Amino acid sequence: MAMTDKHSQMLDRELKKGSAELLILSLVEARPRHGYEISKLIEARSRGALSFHVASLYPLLYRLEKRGWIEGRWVEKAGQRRRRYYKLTKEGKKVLAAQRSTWQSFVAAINRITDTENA
Amino acid sequence: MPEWKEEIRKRLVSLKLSPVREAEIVEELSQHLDDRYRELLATGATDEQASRAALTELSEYDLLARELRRVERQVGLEPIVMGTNRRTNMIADFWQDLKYAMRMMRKSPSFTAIAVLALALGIGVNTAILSAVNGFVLRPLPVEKPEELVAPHWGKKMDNQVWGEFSYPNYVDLREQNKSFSDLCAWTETSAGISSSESRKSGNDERAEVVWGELVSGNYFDVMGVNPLLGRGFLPEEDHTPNTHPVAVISHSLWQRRFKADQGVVGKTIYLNGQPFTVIGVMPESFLGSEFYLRKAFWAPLMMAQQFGRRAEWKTDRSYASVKLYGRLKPGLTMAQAEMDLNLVADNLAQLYPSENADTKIQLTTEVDGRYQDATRGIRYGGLLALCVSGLVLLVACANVANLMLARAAARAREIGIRLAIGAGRGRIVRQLLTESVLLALLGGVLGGALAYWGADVIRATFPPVPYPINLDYAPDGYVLKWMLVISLLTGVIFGLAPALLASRTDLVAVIKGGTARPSHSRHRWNLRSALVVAQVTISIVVLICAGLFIRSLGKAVQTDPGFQTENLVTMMINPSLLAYDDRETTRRFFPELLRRIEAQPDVRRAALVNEMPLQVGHIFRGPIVKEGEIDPPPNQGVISECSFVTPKYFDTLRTPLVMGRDFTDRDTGDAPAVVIVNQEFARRFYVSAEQAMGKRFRFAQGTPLMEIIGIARDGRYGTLYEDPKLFMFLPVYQHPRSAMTLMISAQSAGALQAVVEGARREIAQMDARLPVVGVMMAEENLSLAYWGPRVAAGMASTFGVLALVLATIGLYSVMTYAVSQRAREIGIRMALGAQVREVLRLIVSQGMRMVLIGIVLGLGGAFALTRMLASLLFGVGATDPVTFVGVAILLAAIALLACFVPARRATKVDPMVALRHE
Repeated sequence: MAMTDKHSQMLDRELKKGSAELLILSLVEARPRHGYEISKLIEARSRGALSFHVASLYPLLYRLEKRGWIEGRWVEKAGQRRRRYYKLTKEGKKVLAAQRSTWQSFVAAINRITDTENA
Repeated sequence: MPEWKEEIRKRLVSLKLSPVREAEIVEELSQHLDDRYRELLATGATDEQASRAALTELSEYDLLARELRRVERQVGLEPIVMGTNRRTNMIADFWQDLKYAMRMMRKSPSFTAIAVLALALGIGVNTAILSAVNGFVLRPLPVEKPEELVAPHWGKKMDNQVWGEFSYPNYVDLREQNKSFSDLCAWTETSAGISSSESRKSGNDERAEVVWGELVSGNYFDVMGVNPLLGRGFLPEEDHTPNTHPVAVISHSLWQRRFKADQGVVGKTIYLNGQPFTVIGVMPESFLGSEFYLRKAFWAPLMMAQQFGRRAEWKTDRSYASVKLYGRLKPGLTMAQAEMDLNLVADNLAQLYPSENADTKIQLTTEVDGRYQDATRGIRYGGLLALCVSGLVLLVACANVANLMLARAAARAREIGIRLAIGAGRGRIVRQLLTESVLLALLGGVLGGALAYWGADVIRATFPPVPYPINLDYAPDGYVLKWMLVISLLTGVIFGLAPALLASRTDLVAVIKGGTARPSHSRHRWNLRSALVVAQVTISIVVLICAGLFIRSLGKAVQTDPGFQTENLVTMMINPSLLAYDDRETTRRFFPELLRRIEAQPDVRRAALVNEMPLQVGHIFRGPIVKEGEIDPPPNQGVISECSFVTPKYFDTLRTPLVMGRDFTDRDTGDAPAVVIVNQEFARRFYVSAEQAMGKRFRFAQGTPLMEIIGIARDGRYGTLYEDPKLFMFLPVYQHPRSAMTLMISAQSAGALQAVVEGARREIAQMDARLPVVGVMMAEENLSLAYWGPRVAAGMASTFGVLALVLATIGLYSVMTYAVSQRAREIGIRMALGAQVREVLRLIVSQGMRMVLIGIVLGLGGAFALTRMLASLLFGVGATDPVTFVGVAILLAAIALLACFVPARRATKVDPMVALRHE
């Protein structure tokens, strides 16, 4: 049981890693969001299947920021603590488009294989 | 709400992020955890559960640190507080200090420029002087283990230090009988005419030239420890029988010059003094011979000495001291032991040959120490003095920069105070400030080094023309540069330490209160600054007085009557014996004919020959003097006298009349009765007066013929311009044949000098085209060597004096400016309350002048004590010359007054309202 559990955790992590960049870029495409919001959205939209906690989310955000795909800015709103909002950059938009199409063809390919198996 | 920040920081610590970046991440992540915590509470978790869940997510698989490490750049550890003692990493601290020091220097370029320039001047003059002294007396000979080369000297027992040469038979006995030397060689220097053929006829394409060489014993190259580049050294049989092995080793430069670096030169023939010598070897380029200052062109066996004008008895006559010795001690022996051993041999020789060797002794020096005998006392003493004075100038520069540093430390008191307040250690602050001062000193050192190279050229350019291949290599070498580095570092510590220590004692309370961050020991500091100004003024006075004395000394020297006139005089050196003319033949036929031809030239007033012009390099001694009817004094006792060998008309040519009696004539030859002319001092010493000396006869010891005094010459200066009257004799060269002579021609007018030189050259060439004419000097050039010492001393002293004055003025000015700025508020109040400009001026100026006056008094006292040491180098001026002392004091006081007045004047121009608001 423990073995299987750990195994699935690892698989989960690897899968997330591969797709995480795409997820984050997609989420900040429409408008700037802060880190907690991003993690909540991922969890909500995947209906709990995917979750990014603080320890994995922020290193990812910083990496994307460093690559110049997203840009973080501290924003102060009246009566609130300041928060760091991330928005998609021009370069990030191009990357997102490319990754999206790659992902879609990848998923389509996987589906074709797994569907055939199931059929 | 739990406190996340510490937890987050704990997980980031291994990343060594920059503090700013770390703070950002902590803020963002702790906010995330807050949100998460609140959410968990909302879903019904307890405080405890929510907090643990959030922390678990933070700690998941160490993801945070692991992932961040890939993303975040680590930065070098830069503490927020400069100079805190967070860790003791010397090298990191040093780099940090260095970077900081450079930043501070860039921030105040004018301070940096003044400090570096002051230090560069101070260090530069020291390096230049050290290079010159090094070039003269410290630079080792390019031989194997030069420091182990030992030179024995011979002389009278009663003398403290002896420097004499050895006779060849004594050398041989010493070499064979001593037990302390592994080997002992003999050498003597000689000049020679060198040519490629022996023909006397004119029309040869190569002109003869005069070169210097050495006659050496067979083991010479072994003792020196140098091997020929080509060919071989001398063989034992070449060191055995006189006049049998005409072989020579030549120098690298002669090889290049005369043989175009021909690899097959060994076996070829060169003509030295017209005699054929076979070239057997070529020395390496670095080897210039036994002496450091004269470049030698060839080495021949001592056994060939007669070819170079030595008397035939040189090999057997124990009274003919003609060779110098070098040796190397056996391993483990000290100089004292070897000296004792040699003196045992000497005592033995004294018993065997008492007439030549009684009461003599041998002393040993290393080759380097032995050089002092070659340097004149003036150069020796002057070099030491120049080092001392340039050291003083460096001290003034140090005091100056220390003062600037103090002023700056005051300006930086707030910065230093803040650093101390937030935990910097005092030692750390001192180290930081010292790094700054050492960096300044090193920059000064680099610039000073460049100045020294330039200075070496200047010193070289001042050297008078002399007809010898002098080896002037004064450029700073490794030894000097090493010392310069030491001096620079030391300088940095000297001028940096006191300001740094004081600055680190800043009053913290004042800094924290935000008031003027004055040092807590402000009195101390003021006192130190005043003391530095006083010291600068004191040293400057001493240096300026030295300068003044030398300048006045030069003035006197230039006015001095050397006893002869160089106006319209031209001199040149000839030596027919270089072409194997016999001395007797030369004096009997060549010289009279030459003088007759030259005097026949239209522009020539008079012409004569002398072996050496007065005030040139060296003179010959003869004696002991034995009056007619008296017996010889005991060996090595009695009075000897300097002498010159002259032709008739010598006195007329130099326009130095005889006070009594007659000049030599062409009839005073070897066949005529022996005659001599002596100077007034000689007459007084031996015969009470000139009148009584006339017609008297004396001889030299050991059975030489009696000579009659036929004339009395006026006392003159013979060796140096400084000398006291000394005994001098003039001997007729026609009775004492010699060949190496200086031809002196007195022209009708100054405009005719060039024509006279050309005419003389033409006449000499007609008599023998191969005869080299060297060292042509016109008019005052003949005195240049005599004036060189005073001129260099005056030039150097003025340079030092001006430097010290400028530095002291800058120092005083900066201190006064600082003092005025500190008292701006007080001055403002005084002015507001109605003080007159004049009173304020007096207040400020008197404050500055008090320091100056103390410095002047101390300086005059110091100079009074110190300049006595100069007495022997001064000429015609007392060491306590009142004109110089008073003049320098007034000059310095006047300049100091100006340096005080300018800042004071500025202070009175300040608007009282502005001054009152002044912090």
